[in-house]
Amino acid sequence: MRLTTITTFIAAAMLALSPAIAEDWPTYARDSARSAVTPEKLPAELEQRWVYQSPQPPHQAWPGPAKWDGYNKVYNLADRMVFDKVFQVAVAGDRVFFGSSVDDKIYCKNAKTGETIWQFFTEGPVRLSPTFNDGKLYVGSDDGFVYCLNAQSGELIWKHRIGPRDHRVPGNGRMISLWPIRTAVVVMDGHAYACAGVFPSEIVFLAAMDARTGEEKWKTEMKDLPAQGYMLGSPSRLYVTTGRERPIVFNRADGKRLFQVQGGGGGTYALLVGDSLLYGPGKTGEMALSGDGRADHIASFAGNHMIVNGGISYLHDDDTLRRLDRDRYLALLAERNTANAERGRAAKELEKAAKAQDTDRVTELRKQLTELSDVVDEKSKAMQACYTWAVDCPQRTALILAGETIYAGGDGEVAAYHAETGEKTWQAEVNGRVFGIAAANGKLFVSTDKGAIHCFGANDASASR
Amino acid sequence: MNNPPPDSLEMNKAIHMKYIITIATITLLAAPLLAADAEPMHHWVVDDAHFGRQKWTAAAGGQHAKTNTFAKVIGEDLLAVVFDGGETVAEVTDNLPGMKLPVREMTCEAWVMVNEPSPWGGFISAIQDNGDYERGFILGYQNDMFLFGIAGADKQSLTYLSAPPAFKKGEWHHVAGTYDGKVMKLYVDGVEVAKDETQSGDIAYSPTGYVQVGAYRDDNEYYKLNGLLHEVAVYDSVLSIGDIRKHVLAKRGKLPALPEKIEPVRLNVAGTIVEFVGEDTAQITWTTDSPMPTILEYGDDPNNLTRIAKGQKVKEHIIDIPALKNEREYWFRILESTAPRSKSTDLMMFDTSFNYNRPTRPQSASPFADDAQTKQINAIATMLLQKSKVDQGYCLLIGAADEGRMAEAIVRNTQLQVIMIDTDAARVQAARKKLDEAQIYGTFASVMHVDSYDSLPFGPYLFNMIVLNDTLRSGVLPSTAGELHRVLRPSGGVVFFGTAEGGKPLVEEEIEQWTSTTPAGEGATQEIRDGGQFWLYTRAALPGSGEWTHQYGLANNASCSEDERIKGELTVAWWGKPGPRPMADRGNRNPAPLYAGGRLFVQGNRNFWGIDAYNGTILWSFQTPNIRRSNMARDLSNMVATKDYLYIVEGPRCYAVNAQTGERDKVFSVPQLTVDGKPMDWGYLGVVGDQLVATGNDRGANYLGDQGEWFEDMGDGDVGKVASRYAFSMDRYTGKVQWLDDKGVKANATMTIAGDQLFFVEAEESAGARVDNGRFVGKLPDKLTLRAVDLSSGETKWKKEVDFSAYRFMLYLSAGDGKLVAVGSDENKNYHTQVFDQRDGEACWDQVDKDKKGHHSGHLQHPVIIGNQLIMNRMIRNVHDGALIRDNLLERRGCGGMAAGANGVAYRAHFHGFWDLESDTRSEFLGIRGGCWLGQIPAGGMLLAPETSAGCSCTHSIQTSIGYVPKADAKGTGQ
Repeated sequence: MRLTTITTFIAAAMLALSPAIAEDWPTYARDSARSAVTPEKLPAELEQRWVYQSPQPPHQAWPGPAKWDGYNKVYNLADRMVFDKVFQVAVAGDRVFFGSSVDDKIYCKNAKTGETIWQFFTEGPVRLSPTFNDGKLYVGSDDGFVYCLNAQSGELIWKHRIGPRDHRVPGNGRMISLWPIRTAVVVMDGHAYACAGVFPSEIVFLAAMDARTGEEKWKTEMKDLPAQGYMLGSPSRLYVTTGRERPIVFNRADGKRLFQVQGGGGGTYALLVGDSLLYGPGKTGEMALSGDGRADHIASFAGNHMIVNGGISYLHDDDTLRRLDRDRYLALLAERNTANAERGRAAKELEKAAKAQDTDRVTELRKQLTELSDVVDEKSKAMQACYTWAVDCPQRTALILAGETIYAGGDGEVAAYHAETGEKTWQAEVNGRVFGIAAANGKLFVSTDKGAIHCFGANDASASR
Repeated sequence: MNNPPPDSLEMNKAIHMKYIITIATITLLAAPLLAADAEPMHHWVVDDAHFGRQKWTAAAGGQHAKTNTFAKVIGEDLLAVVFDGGETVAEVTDNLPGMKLPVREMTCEAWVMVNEPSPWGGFISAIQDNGDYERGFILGYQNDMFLFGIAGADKQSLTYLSAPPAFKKGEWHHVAGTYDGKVMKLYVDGVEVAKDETQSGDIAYSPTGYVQVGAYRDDNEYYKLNGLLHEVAVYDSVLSIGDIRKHVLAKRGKLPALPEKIEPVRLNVAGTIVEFVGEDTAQITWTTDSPMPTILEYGDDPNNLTRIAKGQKVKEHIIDIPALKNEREYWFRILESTAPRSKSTDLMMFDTSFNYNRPTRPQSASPFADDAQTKQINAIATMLLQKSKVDQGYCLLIGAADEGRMAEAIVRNTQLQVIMIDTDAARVQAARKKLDEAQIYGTFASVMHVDSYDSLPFGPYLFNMIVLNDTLRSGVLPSTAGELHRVLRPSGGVVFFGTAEGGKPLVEEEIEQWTSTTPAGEGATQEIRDGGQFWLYTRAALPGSGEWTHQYGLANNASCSEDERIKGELTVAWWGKPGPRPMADRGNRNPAPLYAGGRLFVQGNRNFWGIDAYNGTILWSFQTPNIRRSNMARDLSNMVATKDYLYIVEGPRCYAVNAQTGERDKVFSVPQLTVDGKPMDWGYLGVVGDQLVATGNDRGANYLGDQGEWFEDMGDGDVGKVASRYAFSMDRYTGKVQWLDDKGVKANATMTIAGDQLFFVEAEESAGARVDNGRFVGKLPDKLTLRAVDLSSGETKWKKEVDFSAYRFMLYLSAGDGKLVAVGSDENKNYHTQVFDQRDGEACWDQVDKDKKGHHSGHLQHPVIIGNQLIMNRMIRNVHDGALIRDNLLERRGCGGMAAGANGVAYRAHFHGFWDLESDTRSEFLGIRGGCWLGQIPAGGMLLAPETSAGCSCTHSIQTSIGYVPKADAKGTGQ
């Protein structure tokens, strides 16, 4: 108890030192919805402040996808396992935290200088971002343990093994637990949630732990799917991504499995809008949208990433960044779906009427079909008009929204685009392909597949190094 | 797939063709004055500025054509490309609707010389003529007459405008066709020779198809030009005869003469192999018949290659390519000389994603003082590594009292990954800090805290080396060797223990007592005296484990390794690379993985790996741009394994690949390089003792599967059975040929060895067997020969006439329990089984069964023989008399095959699966699927399943190579 009190105090003090308008980035994509949206407004001109360079690039859990689907002649298959290509950061106050799949450590660095404040050894690769919450840092490791550390000192507060026993085997070249933690840790309402396990035949576990003590509150077994990729949380639900498969949804209160989302081609990239889940990248790069709290598939959008900010979405495919009036688009989509359903019904009736040689009815139904087709066409055109701008965006691998600026990461570069106009406003070179961007407390952190974390900050002379 | 057979297509085309003869009344002299030239919509011309290696840059229109690296260009002033009627191609696009083409008015023209007329030919084609579906246009020829074809929107069928009289072979002609939405005209050398008004409206194109120069190509026909081509142009306007005449006059008489021989200038080299020799360096080796300089061009942009060369003329070439980028495809070709238009190989590819070298060790300074302790430990490490000869895989260090000195010494001198354990948390932390300071913590070496050395938290068989690190000074052995034995790799894993000088010596009795806790007969201890007193305990092969050395298990094709250990429930032992990226598409019925001597051998899409079967460590790998085989239902694998070598064939050569290092120690050649003038490649490959037993088949007969084929349907392109012209035996160490048998044409998929005999099915072509391009095609004759040959002498032991005419989809031969089993399925997918006595060929029994699943390989299953049980088509029969033992076997899903050990069968349900015979229960490994043939092998006490699902449309959650082990063998002493 005493330790907790002191920790909370230190964390509060630490946060108090942060700029008044500064916003943290406490976990991957900033929140449990993995929105990748922050009100943080960064300076228009940024310059590199420091770079962390791992001695080796991140050691990924899985090798890349096949080159093609030969039978169906589909090329350029998307990589659906995109959760550990870089060292994703969490930022709180003037500290930046990340784990390493190379040296198995959790790092705490000074966000201003890049200097190491503390580091903590786990016994396996750390593949996903830590989560900062209430002065504590929560992180999972391939050694099968969830760790809770004092964010100030790096001291261990508790660790908990979710899997049934300590059993290590080689997993893609590293000696790791048969039940590694590969979902990151979602911390909400005093609970820490994480999954352990890769192979359903060995049973995969979803567990809720007391965030203060690590005491297990409930545990749910999964015998059909793995748990891989950043888990998401809504006020009432947990969304577990399942590698190349489609996510599964659980009740957050008791771990009861609710459903597996329908439609889409699987993948570990996901974000929540309320209880609507967007996920991908599927087979060739598409985002599937499932219903608000329901399993059913509503729509698919071509692209690798999406940002949802109120009624506006930003879609990001291999070459283009587009702004979508999402609310209007979905309303039109619903109207078009209704018209399509009516058209289908009318077509069936027409068939019957034709068979019955009911010429009047045939005439009437043909007129209806024509009108409904016009409605569908009209809605389709109106949906296309919902894309209010589109710009060339060769930075295809990462996307966040910070204030009024979209930051996109690509091969060797990161760029900024104005969210209202699409105008490119800034660009910088980095070492490697960008799969992680975080904006917090006046700084931009860019993580690459070469094991680099670049920190960019204001370019005024007063910025300390 | 639904198109009528080629014969009916020809007839159909002939019916639709309209021969319209127009007497040429307009002479060249009467041509009107020329108007200003129209700009072509597309234009390809052979000159130095546009025709490059593999890319023919468009002179207009921006639509470049892909051509061959080795395509031959001739001429001095005006140039021409030689189309050889075979390999040389110029593909503009395989996405016809994606290319901008004339809508209505159009002209196409070409300067060409046809050397060999053919039933159909094209100078430029954007056509589909498939039965009653006719679209697009073509300028080309039929037999020895030029033609121009158009399908207008109003007719939706093709009119072929033909131009008698016949053209003269070997002479240059200018050919042009025009269409204005109403009238088609064909011009030859500036003279209008045909005209027709059948077609009208816009040109109707197909929603799929090719645009190709130098060929007639649609979805089911592909006729390639044999001749020369200088230029092709397409206009979206109608050129006047004046325009056309101007084009004729501009180049007439200036084009190059026909060369003596039409042939590509492909440089043929052998044994092209790409290996990575560092983090960013690839080494490419190849062999040439005659000495020549080593010249290679490479790059990640096939159109912008960098040349590297060594001037010395050699036959064995080796060259390093440095500074390669990660995860990139690189293209390369080999040249004969640096002269312009030198002979060249085709373009080949390698991928740096498949560099499995462990990262280079950081050259950081050691954190340990250069004191006596460090020197002593380094010396012991050097001695240990020298004596054990273990330098890859996983090393377990027991005890961290040295703070990581031994770990650092091993990391810096081997490829081993070190796992150090200790029961003392403070010593664990201290060692971690030191190894982190040395910049080797994590990927190279890590330190774990354990509660006890008596119950280790590791799966079985994992460590190639275990070092009792603390014992070196303390002289205290862990309380039991049994637990260390459990985690030690079978077939050569070592435990190193002893005491260094100055340490407390071990006594013999103590060692004997300690090693007595290991299973009797499963390991041996050897003493070493070198700077102290040391011992190496070496683990033997797992008793009762089996091997999988051929496509279907052993040389008897029984699809059974006879492994007695793999049974009951299984658990994951390891997983890792290779993943799906380097693998062949899952549907091509690809060669099975192999196992021998503790090593797993895997073939991907022109890749090979040697893998430690017990922990997944990649021992070696290389990329082979020219080695590939598929459609195992009609052929057999191109590789076999022994404990010391993996034998791989490439064309007429066979490489003896060192099983541990991947080095190609020996190269053998087929004993007859040609038969009846046809070049021979290595066909079937088997190994027994010191003998390689093999066959020679026609070059090009073996399937490649590069087009995503599934080989599931009836049709000679799927079911043509690869046939060999001769069989032979060769000493596998010296290459000396021991005997050769060329009495008949042998079906590769039937080559079976049991006891001291080789069995196969063969045919005489005179007996009615059709052999086209090295494959039995059509229905097999009703009199084929089943023959047994003495393995040592090659003499016929017995032969027998057998009717295999019903075996349409496939013809397998397997041996087990003294019987020979022939299995095939007919066009209605009924399984036919005939069983013979191995001793004399006497027929024992036969059976016809309706298939229990007529798709996804349900009608193509290779049988399994375990003891006296013949398993196939979801039934078990007694192999001796055919008595039905069970007909309710578990349903098999998907398209994979079965592979058995003595106690169970691995198969594909929805996912990887294993059926335990004793308990009659099956385990499924959800999330992981196998490929469409045989990808899980029970061998070495494991179930080994390299990744084979590559390209799958499905959302199976995991794609990986994986090893399973019986749960009973996985349990530690404390579990």
